[in-house]
Amino acid sequence: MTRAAAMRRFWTGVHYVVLTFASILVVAPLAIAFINSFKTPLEMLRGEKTDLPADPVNIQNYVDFIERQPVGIAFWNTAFVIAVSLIIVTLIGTMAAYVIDRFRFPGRRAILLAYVIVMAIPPITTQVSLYQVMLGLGLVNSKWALIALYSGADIVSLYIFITFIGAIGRELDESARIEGASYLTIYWKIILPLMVPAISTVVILRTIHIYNDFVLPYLYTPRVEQSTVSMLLYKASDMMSSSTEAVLMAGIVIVIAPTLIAFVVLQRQIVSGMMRGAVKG
Amino acid sequence: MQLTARAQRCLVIAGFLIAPLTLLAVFSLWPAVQLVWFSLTDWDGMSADKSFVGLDNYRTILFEDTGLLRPLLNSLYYFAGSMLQLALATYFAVILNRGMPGSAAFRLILFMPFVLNSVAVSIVFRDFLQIEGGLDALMTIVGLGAWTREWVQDPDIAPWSLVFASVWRYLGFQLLITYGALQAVPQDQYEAARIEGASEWQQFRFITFPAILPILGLQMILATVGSLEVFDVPFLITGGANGTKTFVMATLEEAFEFRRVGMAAAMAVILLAGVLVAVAIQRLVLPKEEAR
Repeated sequence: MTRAAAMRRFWTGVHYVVLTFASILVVAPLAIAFINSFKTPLEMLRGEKTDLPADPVNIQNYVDFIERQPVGIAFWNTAFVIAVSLIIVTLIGTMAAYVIDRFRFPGRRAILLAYVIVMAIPPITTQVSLYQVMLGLGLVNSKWALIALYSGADIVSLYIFITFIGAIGRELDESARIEGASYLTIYWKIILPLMVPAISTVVILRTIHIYNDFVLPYLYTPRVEQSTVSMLLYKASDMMSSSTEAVLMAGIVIVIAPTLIAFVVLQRQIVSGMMRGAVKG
Repeated sequence: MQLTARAQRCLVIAGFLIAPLTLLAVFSLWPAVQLVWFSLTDWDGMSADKSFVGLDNYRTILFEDTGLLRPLLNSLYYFAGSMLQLALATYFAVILNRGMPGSAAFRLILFMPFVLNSVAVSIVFRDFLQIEGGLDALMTIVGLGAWTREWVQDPDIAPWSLVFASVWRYLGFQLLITYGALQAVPQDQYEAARIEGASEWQQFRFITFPAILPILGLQMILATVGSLEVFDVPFLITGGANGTKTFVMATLEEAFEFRRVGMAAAMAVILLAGVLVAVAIQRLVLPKEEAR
């Protein structure tokens, strides 16, 4: 074996060791939470966190969490907020992108400038005043506050739509125009179907974001009855003591599980959607 | 009734823009304007009257009650952490891009934390970093039991523990972006370099690095902005105790707990200015991104 080949093998070995170590660090906290979700209060109190539960199919903690916490309503709210926000953001986002990209009209540059300015403002900085706006609209404590903000204040998705439509040739819509199709028909029958890849990117990015976000539910829907799974866990962790810690771990598994399953099943779409969308965000 | 082409055009432009522009105005532009106005008042967020106090809030924050600015220093921990994270993510992206067996699985594992619920992972970490929590137990197993610390209680260590949690969460995301950029580098360049006898380091230095420099620049901007805006991970793990309060936490506390909306708005404006300055500086210093 040549010296260069030996060096290469050495470094490959180093890379594998580092990757394995990093992967263990990533998985360990989650794995520990998972095994603790099957432990009895006594086991939690006595043993080490890394000890395995005596009964690995003890689902009492799961039963307790579901019975004591408004799990159903939180999941329903989450699904509702995600679905309605995504429909709104897709419709108004593609419509705005269509008009802004395909038409030249007075005020167009001003509109683009407004979007660029808003893009530069991190949303977290304006919550202090946005809260007052939401209070004025009577939306605080309603899941419509979340829907309004996840769709109305979502500038990144609009940007993805505008970039994408700019790359679609105009031949199709121009020839349809010549044949007498109305703008509405062109948008609905030609533009919208062509935008499907961008729409799926937005759907993936926003579903992940909305499901995982904490800031907006925390500020605008403090009551779980109107809020998402983030608030469910936040409230539950507030109420729990160390004796019910395992129940909280069960709740965490309940919230994480759907994402993990979706992630494993849809990994290719999620990863490519992220790569396409992320750089622009 | 048949509309004229011109009327149709006006109708579609107005009809398609009215909803997005209304939403833009109500939820983005108006709050930004309000924020600046609030920052010039002494409003408590509830009473009907707010009096104009000029730049008093800013003077208080910058020169009088400097304790308000102190949490801004905590951003430095996150900034340091995010630079380390960027270096690690680049390293991982480069070695995973070589297509060693198992790369796909490693990439998936490292990226996974990014898709998980903030509150869930924060609680998981809170437990993991507790005294006699998961980390201590793991360290004991591998014989490092003597090195356990009060990870989130000791003010000297707590900020770094939170940085670790944050790196844990976002590393995979950066990895993915860099990985995407690497995929666009033509493979024949490496081919040629190998024939010329270039070492792996030389390949990285002269092919990979220049190719991903624009993306790294962009990620540095995002990382800097991100380290100024940190909120949920530390808020959920320590609630800001033991010297881990961030500026966003302090701002929201000022607004929603202490009911000093005017002061909070001024803090938010300062934060916003900081973000814009950081972006502007890096735009000037870093290489321009290629037009896409």
